Formats: sequence, structure tokens, C-alpha cells
Amino acid sequence: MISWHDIIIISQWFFLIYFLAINSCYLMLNIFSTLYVRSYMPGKTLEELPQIYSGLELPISILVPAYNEEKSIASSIQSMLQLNYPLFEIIVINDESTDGTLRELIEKFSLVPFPEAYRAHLKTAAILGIYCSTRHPNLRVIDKRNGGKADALNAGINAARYPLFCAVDADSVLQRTSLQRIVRPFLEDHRVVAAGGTIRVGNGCKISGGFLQEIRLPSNPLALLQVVEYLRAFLFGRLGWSYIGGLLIISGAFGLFRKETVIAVGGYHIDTVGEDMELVLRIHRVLRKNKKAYRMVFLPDPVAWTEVPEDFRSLMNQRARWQRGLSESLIGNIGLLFSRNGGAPGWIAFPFMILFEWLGPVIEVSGYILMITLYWLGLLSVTAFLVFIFAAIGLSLLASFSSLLLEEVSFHMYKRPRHLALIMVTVIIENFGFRQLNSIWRLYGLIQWMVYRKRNWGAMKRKEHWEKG
Amino acid sequence: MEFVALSDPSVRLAFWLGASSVTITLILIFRVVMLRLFLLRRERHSSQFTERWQPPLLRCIMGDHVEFPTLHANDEMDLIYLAVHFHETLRGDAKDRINQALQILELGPRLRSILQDGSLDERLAAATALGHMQDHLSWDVLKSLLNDGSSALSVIAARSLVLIDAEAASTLVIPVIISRRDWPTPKLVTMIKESAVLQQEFLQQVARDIQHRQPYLPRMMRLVEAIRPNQPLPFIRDLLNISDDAELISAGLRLTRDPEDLDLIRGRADDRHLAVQVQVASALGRLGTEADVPRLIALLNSREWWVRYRAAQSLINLPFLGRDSITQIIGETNDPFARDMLKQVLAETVTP
Repeated sequence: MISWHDIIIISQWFFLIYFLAINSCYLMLNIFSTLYVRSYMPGKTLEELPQIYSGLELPISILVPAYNEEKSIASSIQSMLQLNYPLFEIIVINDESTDGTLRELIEKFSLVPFPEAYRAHLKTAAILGIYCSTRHPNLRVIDKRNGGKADALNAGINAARYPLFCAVDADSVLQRTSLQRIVRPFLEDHRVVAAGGTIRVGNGCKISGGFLQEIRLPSNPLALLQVVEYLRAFLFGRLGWSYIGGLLIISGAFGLFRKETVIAVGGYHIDTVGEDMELVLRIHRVLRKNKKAYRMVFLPDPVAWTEVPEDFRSLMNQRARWQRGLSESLIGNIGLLFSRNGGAPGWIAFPFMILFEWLGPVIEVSGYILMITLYWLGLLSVTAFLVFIFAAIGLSLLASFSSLLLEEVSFHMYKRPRHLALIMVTVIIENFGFRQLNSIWRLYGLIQWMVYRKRNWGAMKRKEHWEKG
Repeated sequence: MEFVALSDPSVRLAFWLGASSVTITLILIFRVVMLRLFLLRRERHSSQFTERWQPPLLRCIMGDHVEFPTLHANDEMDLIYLAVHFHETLRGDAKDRINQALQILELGPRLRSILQDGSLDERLAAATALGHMQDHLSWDVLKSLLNDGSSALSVIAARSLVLIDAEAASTLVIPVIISRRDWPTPKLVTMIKESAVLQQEFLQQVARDIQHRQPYLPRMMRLVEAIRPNQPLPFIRDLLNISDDAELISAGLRLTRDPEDLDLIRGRADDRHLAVQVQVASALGRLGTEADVPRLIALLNSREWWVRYRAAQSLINLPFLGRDSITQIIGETNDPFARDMLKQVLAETVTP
């Protein structure tokens, strides 16, 4: 008969092997990211020289879904209008905001009603009106009934005139050369159907005229912790996956897609809160099923700066929403898992997502609870308890400092030595509470997904705390 | 009672896992700090270099006689990058003066040595500089780099060969343009646009490829379109006559500028490919006569948004069709989609 002792030992081994497995995967991703960066960085110095447009740049439609973005929408659009790119249009989709988003747009950009011959490739909530700017011919605004972010993006795709569309969050600030950089894979390889850029935390940064003037770290501790998280997620997470062709996420805050591919797979799904990941997974699933040659890539240097939550409630809502989105995306595209033609997405990335991202919070939180319970019941010595904590924190530190090293080797965005020191301290501090809290929030999201709760945009308390220059 | 103690294998494994992670982390921290210190030192050196070298180089560009400071070995790469920056941004006499400065500083032999033995970044800069300096002595090395595994280096080598001797380079470079599909297209286009000789040779190659219906023709036509040659392209007529490939026909239609091609364009108005119809609508807008108005009205009724849009644009932009005629067409059109499209394009012409 199995004794309590056996159960404890088995569960301990289970958690230990799990931690070992997840961190081995991270280590592999880190190696792939390093290889990617090594092949990507040479020639960067020459590429920073003034560039002449080749004439091959595909025109781009920038889609900006907006819901109650009154405070930030004008400066965001202003900065987008100044992007360095030969031909692009901006389509703002007002998803029946209840604040003054539309009024702000009409006033700031001199919008007038426009008799658009609107195409309904993708079904969306009713269109109330289409406006164009009398000052900026490449700016249009779609006013529509509320249908959620995915529905707004679908309306934008319907109105988009160009073969590529770039989905950008209304509160994102793009670097001036972002479009030039993110379009490159499409020019170099006609199989590319989607490209994702890097998202960095904009809180605390100095912006002027809608552009980032100085990169600074946020003073808010929660935002600072997210700086480290974003570095880790983008610099070695997505970069590594992209290297092996298993990229499953392109952030909704900044991604470039081939329009006809997205329309062919049915556009964004409106019944998910993780529409960005769901779309990417569906593209993989459908194109692989149809044996189409395609590529999806992640690029580390086109950067969008975004505002992250600074209060616990907003952050918790965001993380829970992400976990729900992940659940919906994975289950909705389960056909990709170990599919005959699944390749790296179906055979490596998808199983990883299920094991470590989707079920991760359950296992991590259970692990923490088990350790504490055993310790509390006197079944685990203080030393052993501390050793397990030491191992978990050690592995986590290793992953975080690896991405910091990658950042330092490649882009070193945070120029001041003080910033680097602060990030290093944050990397250590986040292990004492924040990462555990994050796992709990994600677990909460998973439970929410299981019991189903009404989805919404998860409004974030927006403060005008981006320092205006 | 303690069930799990330090002697337990799982605890021992956890300990060693933690210990090795922390050890590696400490090494990483050390590396990060060293990299930052190196970066700071490098930036300080670069700014000191720029302070010392930029003013005399700028005076040199202006045509003044200049005494250059002593060039230290650790300044060489900074100077090369600065020279490349000037090369890429300056034209004419100013560029020649930069080259003279590099000759005075006897940088040629050093650049040739970097081209062979430097890091990839350094070789890229050296290849670029040698091309701008029209350094014939580096010809053989650059020629061998055409087949280098790095597409960035090989395409820069190709460009440098063209800058050194466009005529001799064309025979070497064009076959590689055809064979190396890994060359970044924007860089290729820039290289072809830069040299009239290479452009001419390239267009002649495309004309031959059309006759031989080469399988790589679509890529070549994309390059022709990107180059936007400022000259008549007689081979477009051949392409429209010979080809039945929608992509090639579309490319040909986009490049038509000769009214003599009108019949060929009209002949494609009923093409089964909507992408071709889009280009027919555009081409008729550029070259069409009054006889093409019914054809454009027919295209305005297409099920494809882009065909309707281009047809509407073409109708509205035809010089002999006034606003009254457009209003009349709107009134007479039964198709609501065609009507909406004409209204939209009319609004676009009014809205700046």
C-alpha cells in the first residue's frame, strides 16, 4: 500500500521534474534566441544609415481599435501619422466608446463623413459611419456598434485598402522606423504571412509630439516588474520560437499580417478574449492542414511602447484575461496539436504551451501550496523547504538574467547604468512574491475560463502618466 | 517527524539545481556588467573620436586643405564607419574628397585586410567603403564574396563590384541576381537603380528571359517594377503577347506606358483573373480613350472591390470626362456597388 511518505516523495519528484523540464525548455529557447540574435545583428550598423526607399515597400493599413481611449487616442494617432514609411493608411475603429473618443478624433483631425464603399469580407457589428480627415488623407475612422476588439479589427480589415495590415493598440507608441523594420520579412520572403514586433513598457518614458524622446524606467514598482517580464517574454520567448518556426503569439499591440491570408482563415474570432493568439494559431492550423508554404516571424527591433497596468486590480484582470484567451485559443485550435503536417508549431510549441503556459499555473501554485503545507505539517525540514525555494528561485533568476544578457548584447535600450542596476535588482525582487502572485492570477483566469464569465475588454484604469515633453 | 530531509535524493537534486543555476546566474551578471562597462568605454571612445575626426573630415568635404590627426589603430573602425556614413549620404565632389582623405590616410590596405579577416560587421563596412573608393585591388576578393554564405556580405560585395566597374561587374552580378534568391530584394533594387549600366544590362536580360519564358521571370518582373525604369520597355509588349501567367500579365500591365499597347490592354479586360482586371482598369485610366469608357463602366460592375475601385478612379481621372458625365454614369448605373464606388472616389477627389 502506498504510504503518505510515498505520495509526498512522488509529488516532490513530479514538481522537481516539472521545474527542471520547464527551465530546460527556457534554456533551449534562450540558446535559439542567442543564435537568432547572432545572425540578426551583423550589418545593423550599416542599416542604421539613412535608407532610400526601394520602391518595393508594400503599402500598409494600420488598424487601431479604440474603446474608451479618449485620453491617449489623439497623441497615438499623431505619432502614427509621422511614421517613416512611403505609403500607409491609418484606420481607427471606434467600438462604440462611451467616453469622448470619437469626439476627440473628430476635433483633433478635422474628420468629415465619408461615403465609403465598404466591403463586408468579414461579418461585423453594424457600421454607424465612416469618417475621413480633411487634413490627413490617409486617416479614416470607422464608427461602429460595440462588438469587442476582434470585431473592431475585422471591421478595420474590411475597410483596409492595402495588402498588409498592422494591428496596433490605441495606447501604443511606435518608433518612427517601426513599419520599415517590420515589413522587411515580407519583402524578402513572399511566404511570410505575419510578423510580430517587440512590445516594451512605456510607463515612465518621456514622449513628445507622440514620439518617444527618452527611454526611462517607470517609478511605479508594478510597472517596473513588468519591464522585466516583457524583456523575458519577447527577447527570449518569442525570438526563440521564431528561430525554430514555432511562433504561436504575435502581440495584438503590434503585428503585421497579410490581409488575404487573414480573410481566408476567417478573420479574428469575436468569441475569444485572446483574439491575437487565436488568430495566429488558426493561421498555423489552416495553412498546415492545407499544406501551404508560409512563415511567421518575430523581429526584435521594431518596437512598440505600451502602457502597462500600475494597480493590482488592472494587472490581475489583464493576466486572468490573458490566461482565458490562452485557454480559448489552445482548445479552439487543438487540431494543430500533433497534427500530421503540424511541424514545429504542432509538435513543439503547442505541447509546450499546454504543459507549461496553460497548465503551468495549476502546477506551480500546487507546488507552492504543497511545499508550504508539508512544511507546516512538519513533514518537510526547514532546510529542505529552503532548498526547494532556492532551486525554484535559482532557475527563475537564470532565465531572467539570460534575457537581460541578450538585451545587453543586442539592443541595450536602457542606456543609463542606473537603469541597468535597477532592472537587475527588479529581476531578483520579482521572485519574492510577484511571480507567485502572477501564477495565482493566471490560475484565477483558468478557473474563470472553466466556469465561463462574460467577456469584456477588461477596462484598465488609464492615467495620463506618460510624461509629455 | 520529518519525512523529507536534506539527505533525500530529490532535495539533493534541488540543491544542486539551485546551486548551479545561481552560479551560472552570477557568471551572467558578471558578463552583463562587463558588457555594460565595455559599452560605456566604447561610447566614450566613439564620441572622443567623432570630436577629433568629424571637423577635419567635414572641412575636407568642403574642399579645404586639412591636416588630419594621427590615426590610432583603435580608431580605424570608427573612421571606416564614419567614412561609410559620408559615402552613403554624399554625392559628387564631396564623395570624391572623402575618398581622397581615405587615400591620404592610407586606409586602402587596411580595408582590404579587414575584408578578408575581419568580423562580419567589419567586413560589411570594409566592402562598402572599398566599393565607394572604387578600389580595383579588392576586385578579386569582392568577386569571390559573391558566393559567400552570408547574403548580407555577398550583396554588398556585388554592389561594390558595380561601383568599381559597372560594365565588368554586370556580367558577374546578373547571373548571381538570378541564382541567389536569398539576396534582400530592397538592397538589390537599390543596387540596380544606382547604376545606369547595370540597369540597362538587367533590362536586356529580362527581355531575353521573356523570350525564353524563364521560370524565375516573376521575380525579375517584380524587380523591374521596383526599379521603375524611366524608358520605354518594348519587352512588355512581348510579355503581354506571350504570357498566360496572371502575375506576369499584371506586372506587364502595371508597366505599360505606350498608347500603342492599348489593344493588348483591352484584350485583357475580360481576363478570368480579377488581379489582371484590376490592372486593366488602371492601365485604361492612364492610356484609355473615349472608346474605353464602356469598358471601364463594365469593370465598375465587377464583384471585386479593387476592380470597381480602380475602374472608378480611372473614369474620374479621364481628362475628357467631366463631372457631369460622371454624375450621369452614377444616375444610369443600376448596380448599387458601382454607384457607391463612384461616390466614394468622387469624395476622395474632393477631400484633400
